[in-house]
Amino acid sequence: MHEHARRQISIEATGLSVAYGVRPALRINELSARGGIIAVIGHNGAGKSTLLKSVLKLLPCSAGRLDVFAFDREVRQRLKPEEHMAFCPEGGSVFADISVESYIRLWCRLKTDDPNYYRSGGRHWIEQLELAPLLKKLGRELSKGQRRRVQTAIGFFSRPRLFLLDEPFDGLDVQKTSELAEIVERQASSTSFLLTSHRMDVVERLADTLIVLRNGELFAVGPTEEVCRTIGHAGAKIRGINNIEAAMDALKKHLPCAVMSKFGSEIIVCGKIPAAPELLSLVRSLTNSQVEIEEIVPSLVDAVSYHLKDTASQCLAA
Amino acid sequence: MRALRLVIALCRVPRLFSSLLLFPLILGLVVMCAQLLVTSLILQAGRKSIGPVESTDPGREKLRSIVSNLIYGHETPQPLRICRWQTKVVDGQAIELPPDDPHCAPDRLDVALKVKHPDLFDPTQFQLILDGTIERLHICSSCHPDVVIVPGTPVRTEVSSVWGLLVLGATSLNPDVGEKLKSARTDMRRIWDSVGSIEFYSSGLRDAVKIKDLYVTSAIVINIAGMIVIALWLALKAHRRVIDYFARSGALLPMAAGCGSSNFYLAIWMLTCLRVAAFLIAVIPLSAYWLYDMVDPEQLYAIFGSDLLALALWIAAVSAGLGLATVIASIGELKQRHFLFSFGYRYVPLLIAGLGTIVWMATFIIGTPFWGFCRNIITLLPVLGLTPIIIAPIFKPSYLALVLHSGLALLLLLQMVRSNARWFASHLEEI
Repeated sequence: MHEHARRQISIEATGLSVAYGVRPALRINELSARGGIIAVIGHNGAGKSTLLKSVLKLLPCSAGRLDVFAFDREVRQRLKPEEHMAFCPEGGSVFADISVESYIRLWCRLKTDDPNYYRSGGRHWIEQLELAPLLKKLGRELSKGQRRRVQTAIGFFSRPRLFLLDEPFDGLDVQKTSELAEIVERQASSTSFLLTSHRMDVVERLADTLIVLRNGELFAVGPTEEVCRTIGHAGAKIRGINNIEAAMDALKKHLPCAVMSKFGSEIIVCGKIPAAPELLSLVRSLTNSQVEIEEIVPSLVDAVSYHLKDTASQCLAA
Repeated sequence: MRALRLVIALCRVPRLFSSLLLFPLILGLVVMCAQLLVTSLILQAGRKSIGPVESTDPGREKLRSIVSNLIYGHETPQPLRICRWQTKVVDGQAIELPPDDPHCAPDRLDVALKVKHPDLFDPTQFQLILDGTIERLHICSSCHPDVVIVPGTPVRTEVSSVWGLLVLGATSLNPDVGEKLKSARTDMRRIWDSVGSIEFYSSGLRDAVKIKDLYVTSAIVINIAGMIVIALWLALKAHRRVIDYFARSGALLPMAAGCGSSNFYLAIWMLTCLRVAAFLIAVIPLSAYWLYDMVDPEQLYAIFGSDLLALALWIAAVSAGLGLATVIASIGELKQRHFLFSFGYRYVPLLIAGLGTIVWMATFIIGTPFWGFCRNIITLLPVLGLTPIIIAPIFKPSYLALVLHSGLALLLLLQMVRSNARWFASHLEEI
């Protein structure tokens, strides 16, 4: 429902190759991802942060091209990092030996020409991200989460068309995660977001488009549900099992490539699993009980768990 | 414009201003002042050894009176008094006592000769050395002032306080020795005067090397080259330090993204140039004042002013040559930064320059025109010919060698920076 209200961007890449020195870190033949909140997911070292830095033109492309377009009334406009984008790195940022207030004033002067913007137009963000108690502190006195909040507020000061967030929920408690997710969702009507995260529950709630990277290459791209099907293959909910623990152990032996989780009296299976009738007879033969099976779309958490397991086993085999 | 705005915004934060500009600037100035001070001392010492003989004596006399004041409380020490201790029996016990003379009352700042038989010892040789600087010499077997000389083979001196060291040091200011030094210097001066100005000719050099001006010329040359080295150090090493400063705080990527990476890196270069400019603005008048104060203007004109083309070519060659060496060292270290001994790469240009120096010096041994040609070849090669370029105002190479060295070094410098730009970029991403 909210997708229509979100401001859309499109990330397009052709023959893209980005390398650190001689070591290639990202290779994408063709990419076209459109959405309001686009999440980049993948295992550690998959190339998520590299993609973000390439979008920001901080890393030069050794081959190909990567562009970001905005759509205002379906008119394409190429976005420039310095004019239309804001970025908050994983660790946040504030100079260690200056106060948060001085750092914010520096950014206000750079982005709005008014060093006191944070007290007028930007006051909302200071309050929203609870920065008032931090203003007099030195950068070195802040935690990683606090530094990230400072940089997030600074990013919003410039009213960016695209906000890039690298691991924004890493290290946040449940309440702070929920608050930040709410802010992102609320702002999506005026700002598009490109974020990386390992918090699949939050990503599933927020993102309308997913980019899945594997070993520096594009593995899947598309709307969240579609990607869940692509990387999670198939899902099934098994009900009516008497001894869940024993059933799970037996199933794991027969379906080594699947991911299983227990949810109350149900078992949720995801991955390369047999079709529903075969799975039903398999479970019945293993548990000797009259179980029921419902085919479902795998959740992102399950799909990514399966994807990572699959990736890990492939890597191991390689 | 955006880069300039960033520079101004950064400079307006007091802490950033002091971290990025003020502190390195002060450090550069302190290093430069220390260098000027050391050179002044070297120049003064040089003047003493080759300058007019009379000019050396007042300094020595002044020092002697200061030391005497510190030890004895008066400017001129009394003539040396020999105090020979005697063994007397007091209350049935043999005790060694100083003579009854009140001038022989022992003091810890006296000097003692510790011998087995004080009444038999001949102190003439010590008398000759100590007279004029020390007031009392005790000859005893058991006394313990701060300086005790134990004659024998070898002679040993026991000093038991810092003041004792001062007393011992005063002996080097012996007026007799001073007279002999004066006489030796007079003879030396006569020899120097009799040979007149010494000019060393060697094939391949543009002009003769004026040996007598060597002291002053080298001091000036070392200072100017030092200034260029500090400026380059501020420029290149500091450039990376500024980036490291941003990277450590995590502000590098958001700032580079927020301002545009080219604008951001341009701003960093502008900050670096500002640093170097501020250093040069502070140092050039200081050095000029020092030069006019320390060196005779006519001598200065003879060294540099008489050939402005050579001076300009020299400054260009030294800047380009040292710049190239710095870039090679920096990039070498950067490329091999994961290697445990990566710091060794920064000394590679120094090693090459050292090798060039040895070969260049060897060409003087065989004075044929061929070796003169070889000398010029070494001089024109960047890095290898760095030493002959630095000392070009002394050993004057041909104009062509200076021009070629500047041109080749500049070309290589630009090529190095162009082809290694990605190393700087990859470095930034890793930190």
